[in-house]
Amino acid sequence: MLWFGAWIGAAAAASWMVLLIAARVVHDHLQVGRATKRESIIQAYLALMRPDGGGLDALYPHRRRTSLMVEALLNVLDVVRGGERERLIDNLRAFGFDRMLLIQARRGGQTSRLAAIEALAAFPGQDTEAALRRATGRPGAELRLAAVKSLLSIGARVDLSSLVAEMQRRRDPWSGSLTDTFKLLAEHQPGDCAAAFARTDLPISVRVMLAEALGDSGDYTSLPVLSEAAMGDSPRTRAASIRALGRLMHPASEPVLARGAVDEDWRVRAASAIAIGDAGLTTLIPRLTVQLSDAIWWVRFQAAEALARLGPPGESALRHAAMSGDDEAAKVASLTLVERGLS
Amino acid sequence: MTVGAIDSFLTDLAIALTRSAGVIAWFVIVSGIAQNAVYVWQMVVAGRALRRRPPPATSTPLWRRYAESAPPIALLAPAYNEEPTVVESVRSLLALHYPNFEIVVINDGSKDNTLGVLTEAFDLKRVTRNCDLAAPCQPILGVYAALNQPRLIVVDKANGGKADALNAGVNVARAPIVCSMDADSLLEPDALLRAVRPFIEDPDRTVAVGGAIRIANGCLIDHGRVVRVGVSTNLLALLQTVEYLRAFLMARVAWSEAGALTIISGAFGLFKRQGVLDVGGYSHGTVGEDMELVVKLHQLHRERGEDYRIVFVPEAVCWTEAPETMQILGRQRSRWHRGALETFFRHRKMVFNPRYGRVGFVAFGNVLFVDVIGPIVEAVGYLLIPAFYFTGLLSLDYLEAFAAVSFVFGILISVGALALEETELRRFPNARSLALLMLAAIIENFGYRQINNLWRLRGTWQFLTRAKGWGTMTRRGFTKA
Repeated sequence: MLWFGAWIGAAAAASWMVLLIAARVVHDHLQVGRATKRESIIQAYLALMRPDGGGLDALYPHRRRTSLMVEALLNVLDVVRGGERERLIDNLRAFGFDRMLLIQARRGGQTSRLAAIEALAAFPGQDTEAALRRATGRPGAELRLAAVKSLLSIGARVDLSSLVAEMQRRRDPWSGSLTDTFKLLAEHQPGDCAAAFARTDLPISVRVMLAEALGDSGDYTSLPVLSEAAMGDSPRTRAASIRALGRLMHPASEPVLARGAVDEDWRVRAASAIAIGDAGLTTLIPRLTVQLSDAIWWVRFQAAEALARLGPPGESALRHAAMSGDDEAAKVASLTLVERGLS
Repeated sequence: MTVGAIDSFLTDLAIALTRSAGVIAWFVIVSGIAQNAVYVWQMVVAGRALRRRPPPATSTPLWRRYAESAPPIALLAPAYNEEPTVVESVRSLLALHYPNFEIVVINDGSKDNTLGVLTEAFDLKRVTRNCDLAAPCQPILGVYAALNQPRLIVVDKANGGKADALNAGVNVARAPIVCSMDADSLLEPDALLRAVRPFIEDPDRTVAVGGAIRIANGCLIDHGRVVRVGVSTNLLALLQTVEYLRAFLMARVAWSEAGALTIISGAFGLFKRQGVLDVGGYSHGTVGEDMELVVKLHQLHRERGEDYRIVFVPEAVCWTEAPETMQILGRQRSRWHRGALETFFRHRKMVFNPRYGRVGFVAFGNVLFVDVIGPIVEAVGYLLIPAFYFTGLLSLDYLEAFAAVSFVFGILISVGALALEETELRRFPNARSLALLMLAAIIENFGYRQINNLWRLRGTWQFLTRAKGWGTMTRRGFTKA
């Protein structure tokens, strides 16, 4: 029995080894061909970018290699802008590449579908929008998120509450890469983002990302919801709202930032110091000066950094703290002055 | 004593041996089956995990998808007497592909001119750096930076060992994620971008991420970068290559999937900086500070009842030079084993403690059976089974058949690891290198595994006798292009 098992195992191991080596030999052979074809496709794309046209003939032999064409296109699009990019896209449309992408976006493995969805962002149109909307309802969090980004890139409207509901329904992880999507959304649909941010039933991490997006949007209509959330229950939401208010740089947020500077949670106090520096609120220098003696080093450090960023009045407060503050305040103030070459 | 009494004693002894032979034989069989079952489970779980989420062949899509949301990372590179290689290592780190990172080189009281060569090569100037010494470390003697290399910070401190140097680095770093590494290891240019993925995709729960360590012996290195992957012609390095594949592509992927990963290699691991500070930084007085930190993180989060993840990312690669002599390899393996035992006994309250969930049951149970008891059982098996054979208590046919099954299974597992590598990552350059590795997968069962067990026993002995120190790790140097 044992010998039988040993022989079976040995035969299995030997066959496995032979198979792996044979598969590698075949793979290496195919890989050489793939690299050559990829290079040929890129050359064809480069030709399509030229004003004199050409390149389509070189692309025809590859018309059945959609995955390779998409991969090459995404790499090219990463580095090409302006007229050349437009010429490339127009010529590829004439070639029927957008239709190839529409098919690829719903067929094949996840990697190739994902690439097709990303590439569709370069081919705006009704069919593209419909295909991307369909993709937002399909399984695979990464695919859905890519579809949403592509929709936003082609200027289509995205229903944020549906997006969040779908993610909740499918129990998708709240990926940090959502921040990018939310930033795009906040740029185009700030009202929707502010409304979503106001929803206290959403997970804290989503609200944190939305706050960050609102802070970068430059849209002052979100000031009320951010100010309200800056006094909410969750320290993480409070800190994120305060950071966002700082980036919006609106003087009306001064009382909220002042309150944040004495929050019970050190993360909120640190966020408040950063926000005061970002917003350039020199009126809050006394609050920052008090923070130089905070029990938490990170708060002291951020307060000193904020003072240094506030220009001459802040630097003056730092110098004063370095000479006459308590031990901790004097230390952090003097180190910041030296580090920034202000001493 | 009469002749009759002696006869009676010998008869009793023979009966006892006969009975114990059966028990020992069954014990060896059962523990062998259990261990092999764990290997098969690891292979299946790792295979499923890698298939479910195949890593992108190039990092271009990762950059496109994650560059905007990638958090800043501080690379902590402790250096002790690294004068010949440190400049090249730092240059290769500076060339990493990652949107936002700083490199903190910690000169841990080197006796050679490590700081001098760095100062000269990068035109370093002494600067003031505002930092909090929250993690315990020896005094920092100076912080240096260069105008032309804003990403580089060099910390000069009194000697205190690797854990101490890393603590100094954590204190000086300001990025929310810190990456521990060895100054003489080589990170692949896209290693950070690949490794940071769990921090981006699940930022709230991810507290630590481990990357894969691969053997650089046989690879071609140019300016601190692996430019051509190869396999070494040195037998010991070749055997270690197979061993590392098994450990990283099978075991760690499987433990990571099971939520019971207890080790992230000190040569390449990413941690939330605040998390490291929350557990008091790296622990002093252990040679396994990497495992110790991960176990402390598990302990803290389990005790707080928090939802967290400690993850392994096999496609994020760091290259390291493997020892090519038995003496140095033996020292390294004994030290690793000692480190595992130190951590196990420091945190023994976690073993089979329901409060620590699968970490206490699965991960610590595995350490108990594989690392604490395993080497002793294996050694007893090696001694007793031949003894039973020579005393006629075990048939030669059975002994041979059992050995054949054990060896064949060992080979199958190693080939399985190679298959995972080949189907999902495919880093080795050609079929020839694959064939060489397969040969090594066969050879390692005849002698190397047994010697390894001896080194682990020596580690156990060193642990029991409270031996200190790392021993000398002499490096031959990478093969230059």
